[in-house]
Formats: sequence, C-alpha cells, structure tokens
Amino acid sequence: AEVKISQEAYLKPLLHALKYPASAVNGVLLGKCTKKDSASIQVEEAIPLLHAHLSLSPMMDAAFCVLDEYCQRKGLSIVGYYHANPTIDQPAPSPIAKRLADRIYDTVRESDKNGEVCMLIVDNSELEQLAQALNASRSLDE
Amino acid sequence: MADQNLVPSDLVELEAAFRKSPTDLSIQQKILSLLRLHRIRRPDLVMKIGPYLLKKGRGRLGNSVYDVREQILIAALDLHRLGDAQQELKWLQENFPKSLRVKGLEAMIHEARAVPHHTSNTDTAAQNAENSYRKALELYAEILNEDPCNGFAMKRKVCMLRSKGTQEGTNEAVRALNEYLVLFPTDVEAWREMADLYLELQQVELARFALEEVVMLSPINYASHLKLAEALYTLGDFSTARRYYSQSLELNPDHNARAAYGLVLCATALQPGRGGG
Repeated sequence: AEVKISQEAYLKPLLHALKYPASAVNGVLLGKCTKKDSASIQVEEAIPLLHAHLSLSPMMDAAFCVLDEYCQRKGLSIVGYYHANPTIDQPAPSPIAKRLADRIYDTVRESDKNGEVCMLIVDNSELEQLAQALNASRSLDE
Repeated sequence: MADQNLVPSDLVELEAAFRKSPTDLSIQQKILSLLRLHRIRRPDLVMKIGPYLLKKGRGRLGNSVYDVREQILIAALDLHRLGDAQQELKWLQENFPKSLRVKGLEAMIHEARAVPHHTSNTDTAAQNAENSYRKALELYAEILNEDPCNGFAMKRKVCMLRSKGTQEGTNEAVRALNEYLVLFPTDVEAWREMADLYLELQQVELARFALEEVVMLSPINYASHLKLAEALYTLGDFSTARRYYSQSLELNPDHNARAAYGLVLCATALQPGRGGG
C-alpha cells in the first residue's frame, strides 16, 4: 500500500511529541483510502489524542465517539494511528501502540471490509538531531 | 522575604514582568524562588535567569545561592547542557565535599550522560553511555550505603530503570519502587508513579490497586478519583467507575470535562441492551 501525507498531518504528530517530551503521545490519522490496483492511503489530518496513560480506555472511547461525528462532517475516514515513544532510543512501536493500532484496524474493518490503515511512529532520534541542528545556530539567551 | 507566599499562578505575571524588565534582579529572584518552592519545571526560565542572577545578584541571594546553583544544575540537565551542569557541580563539590545531596547531583549528571547520543562512532557512544549508566548506579548505591533511607537515591534508581524503555526495565522499576514504598508507604507521588508503571506494562488490575492507595492518601483531590475511575472503566467495572467519576465531579464540578465524559460513557455502558461506548 502507498501512503501519502499532507504537510499538516506530518507536522502535528511531531509538534505533539515535542510538547510532551517526557511522555508517550498518540493520535489518529484521518483521510481517504482508495483501492484501485493496490491500496492507496491519503492522510489529510492528524488528530492528537493522549499524552498520558495511553492504556486507559475511557478517553479513547470518548475520542472515537467525537471522531465519528467529525469524520462524517468532513467526509474523511480513519486511516491510521500515530505514536511517539517516551524515550529517545525506542524506534519500534511499543506493545500499547500495537494494541491501539490493532484496535483501530478492527474498527475500520468493521465498516469497510477492504479498508487499510497505516501506523506512523515518530523517530525520536531523528527529531532530536533536527532539534540539535536548529539549536546550533541560536543560543538560548535570546 | 515574601517569596514564601508565591503561588504557581503568580508565574504568569512574574514572567510578563521579567520580559518587560529583564535585568530586574528582584523579579528574577522571585521567579527562581517560585519555581523552587512549587517544583515547577521551567528549565528555559532557569537558564535565562540563573547565571545572570549569580553574576549580578550574589549579594541579595545570601544563602539561597546554594539552592540556585542546584536549580541551575538540574535545569541544565533538562536541556542537556552538560557543561553548564558540570560547572555548577564543581562549585557545589568544592563547598560541600562530603554532601550526599551533592553526590546525588553528580549521579544525575552521569544519568544524563547515559543517554546514547548520536556521534559518528555509535559503538563508542554506546559504550560511554553504558559506563555512565553504571557509574550513576554506583553513586546511588554509595549514597544508600551511607544512608539506607535516602529516598532521593531510591527514587532516582526507579527513574533510571524506567527510562530504559523496555518491559524488563519497567518491571525492575516496579521492584525498586516497591522497596521504596516499604519504607515510605504514605508517599502519594510514589503510588502515582507505581500506577503509571503498571499502566505502562498494561497491568491495569495492579494499577488499580496503586490508584486506590492514591485515593486513600489524597481523598479530596479530584484527579485521584478521576484516574481510579478510568482504570475501573478500562477493567469493565462501569458501576464502580461511575461512582468515582461522580465523586470527582463533586470535588471539581467546573473544570472537569474528563469526568463528565467518563460519566456519560459509564451511563451508556450500563444501559440494559447497549454495549460500551
């Protein structure tokens, strides 16, 4: 499957992760999924969800209720899940990330038998390198 | 000084005043006092103000110069400015050579070095990180040798194990935290951390136990009831969750959307013939 992502949808997970440097953060990706010869996902929006206690379910449930209505209004569907781990040297999705991604996959498949979803994991190490590169050109005392 | 009367909400005003007159030493001193008093984590502010205040305001600081140096050290670690942290450590070590508190700060600097940082040679980097990690643990062990009830060292060990980011690291952190809680069973923050650790391990049942302790130790804090309610909801115990959500809303009816959402979700789940959510 091919995944295309809009600039805003790309930046939001990064900003979310940067806002909570000591926590894991996650959210959903909204967009459109088309199936011609192979699946193609167009991610248009990223919706930040949680930055604490990702394994507790009530707020995820509430979020999905609100998302249903939002998606209908905007003509988008849930096409993915994003996740950023709390420590710098964790490039792989954590067990919680996998569980939530699976859950989203099941939810999407319920309404669309051919639906595809993607998972976006923020590479903390790359993000750190970027921040360092930017910092090198300006001091903190400004 | 009236600094003891400062509350966290004063920070907004003080920060605005600081921006207007960035060289006003009295404002600077107030800000740092407030951050120390309420343990607010603003390394950006500390690093902007601290070094300047040390240079120009040594006289007005008096004995609090030691606290300010410690504050700068920790803020520097937060921003990974290890050189600045090392500088403050050197000064503190010269003035308090036998201090366990200073030794703890030295260990924290090693902790910060233990984060593998991208260098061209990743093997050396990994080895250095590993050495620093071990050195930090060594220092904490030394502290505990001299003072077996040193809560700081015990808690830092928990943090180090947790920040490994692996299942086994977090499991070890749980064990270390249990040792701490045997000595300090009424430390509500420690129970909160315990709940966090269990949730990271996706062991919600055990997290619930820890959250019950939190509620017992801080019964008028709306957030404690709220967290316990969320754990109960996750475990499928909607009726008990509803009670804790209600209690949370009683304690904080105005700025508690989370509990309101929770209450609606529980009520929906408890309706006969309807599923959850």
